[in-house]
Amino acid sequence: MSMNGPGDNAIPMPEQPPASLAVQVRGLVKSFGAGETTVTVLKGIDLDVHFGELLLLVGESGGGKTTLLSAIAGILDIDAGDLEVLGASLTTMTAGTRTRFRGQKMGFVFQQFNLLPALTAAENVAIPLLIQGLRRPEAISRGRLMLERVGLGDRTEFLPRNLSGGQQQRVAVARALVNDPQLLVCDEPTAALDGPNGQKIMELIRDVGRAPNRCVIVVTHDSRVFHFGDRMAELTDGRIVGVHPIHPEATA
Amino acid sequence: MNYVALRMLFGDRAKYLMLLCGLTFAVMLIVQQGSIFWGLMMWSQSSISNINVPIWVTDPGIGQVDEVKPIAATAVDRVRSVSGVEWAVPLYKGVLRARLSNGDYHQITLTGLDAPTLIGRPAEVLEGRFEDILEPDAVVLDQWAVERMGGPSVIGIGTLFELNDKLARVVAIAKTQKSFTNIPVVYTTYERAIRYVPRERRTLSYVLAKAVDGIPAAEVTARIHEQTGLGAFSAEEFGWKTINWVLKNTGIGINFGTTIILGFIVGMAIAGQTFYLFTVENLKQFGALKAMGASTFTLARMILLQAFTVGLTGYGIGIGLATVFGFLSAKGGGLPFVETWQLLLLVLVALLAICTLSALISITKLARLEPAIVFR
Repeated sequence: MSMNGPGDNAIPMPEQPPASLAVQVRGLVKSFGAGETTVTVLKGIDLDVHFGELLLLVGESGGGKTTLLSAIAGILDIDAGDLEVLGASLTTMTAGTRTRFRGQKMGFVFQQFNLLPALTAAENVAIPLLIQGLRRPEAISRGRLMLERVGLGDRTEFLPRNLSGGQQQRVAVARALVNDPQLLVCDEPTAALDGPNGQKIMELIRDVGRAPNRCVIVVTHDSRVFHFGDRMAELTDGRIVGVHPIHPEATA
Repeated sequence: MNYVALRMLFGDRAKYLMLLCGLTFAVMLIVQQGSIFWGLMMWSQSSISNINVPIWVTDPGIGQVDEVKPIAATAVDRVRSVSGVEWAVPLYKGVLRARLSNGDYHQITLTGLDAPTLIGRPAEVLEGRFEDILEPDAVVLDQWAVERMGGPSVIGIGTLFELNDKLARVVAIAKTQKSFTNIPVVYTTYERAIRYVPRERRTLSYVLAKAVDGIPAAEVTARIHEQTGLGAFSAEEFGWKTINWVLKNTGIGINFGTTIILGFIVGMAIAGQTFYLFTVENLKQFGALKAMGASTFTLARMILLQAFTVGLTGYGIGIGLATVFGFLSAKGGGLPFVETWQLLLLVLVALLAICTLSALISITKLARLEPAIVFR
């Protein structure tokens, strides 16, 4: 496993050869606003993420973590740089192709869960499959199976409002994984949860989400969950200031 | 994703009901007011529909059916002489006062029919026999005359009353469409009618005629006008002429038109705004769907489905409520209420247009939506 930032913290990944690069970011620049009010949020990011890896993006608020995650996930246009995700260049894709690409290859876990309140847990989990055109009974059936994997087999027909925050985030994780994505992006998945529930969600992401054919990127500022990651990239003021192995003994 | 769209719509019950109420109110108001308006227009030409003949001939300057402009009695024969006319009969129509035995006076419309043929008689008789109108002093009332002149306890078959100091005896009660002015109609023969009215130089109100089978009424009316100089109109043409006169010379068109337009604007504005807000408040959910791979086309389809579902539901309920209102209020002739398919179609088209417009505004916003909104 290797990941390069300005601080050159390349870390070998024993279980994955270097060819298994999932995300490659080069010279990524992203600004918001125009004219004198322009704010450059990402100032030339270089980053590699490999399959099988759980990478934490950490740093102070406003440092550019979420913007970088959005760019990698293909839901935010970038101003400059190259962005290769799962073997495809996001910068050259049309918006429509990128949307399809996201639907087929990526899973999302949001800070505020973003479950549809009118749908049951199983139906919420089935949404990515429905978007892909799977028939509803089959999609919901697969949604139920996924809920069982995240420990909510007895809550499949519950509406989100009848689930606790931790359970709702579990549903969101199940939804993110139901189409077996190769890239799982999580934005502050524990921010809306208390300590124990945050730990459980990260356990779930590590145990169920991480897989040899998948890479997981988690944006977090919650230091209590740092130990769940394989590596940690720290962003400050739009730059990666350090990339650290979290289990150096395991990657030595 | 249609299922997801509908669950999103129905799931937010408060907003759904608000949307539905706005659309239902708008549809109900438009259909109700439109139907009453059209009912009034039908009442305004009730003389034409009650007499129910194909061609009306009278003074060319006439504005509407109840505005009688007497013509010379020779007009009947002149019309009969026009080629293509199968038959032509005289009709008297005028307003008189009836004096009942209890001393009450009532304004009535006296209608004198051609005695040999009784052409122009009402199609349905509720009591008695219409043919008895040929008996001495006999008259036939319409059901509204009974109602307006005191009810069945005051006037009915066998009742005697005076028309211009001359005796009239009720021999039958006929069923007719209510008139715009709601003045009771008294039928008698043409000859007797002109005896009831004060002596005038001209007593012929209309010549009723029919074209020979196979010749269009429009062609015959043109010939009648050309050869006699009289105004000749097909029943439909005369009906529209009457409606146009009422619209032009009364405030009905403006009053109802204003109500209908305001109802439309208010109802649709409520519905459009609520639907737009519904979408805006769900932007984050739509953003999440977009992030998860739903295309703008898919989201647009979802929004349109939501808009049309709530629109058609509101349309159905609105029409149902308006129809129930119409049924209850029109029962017994209380209010004119004619719900035409043209009106229903017009409202449907307008409703679908406003739903599409609201949906398109929402879709435009969604198309510009950056799915990154879900990470903020």
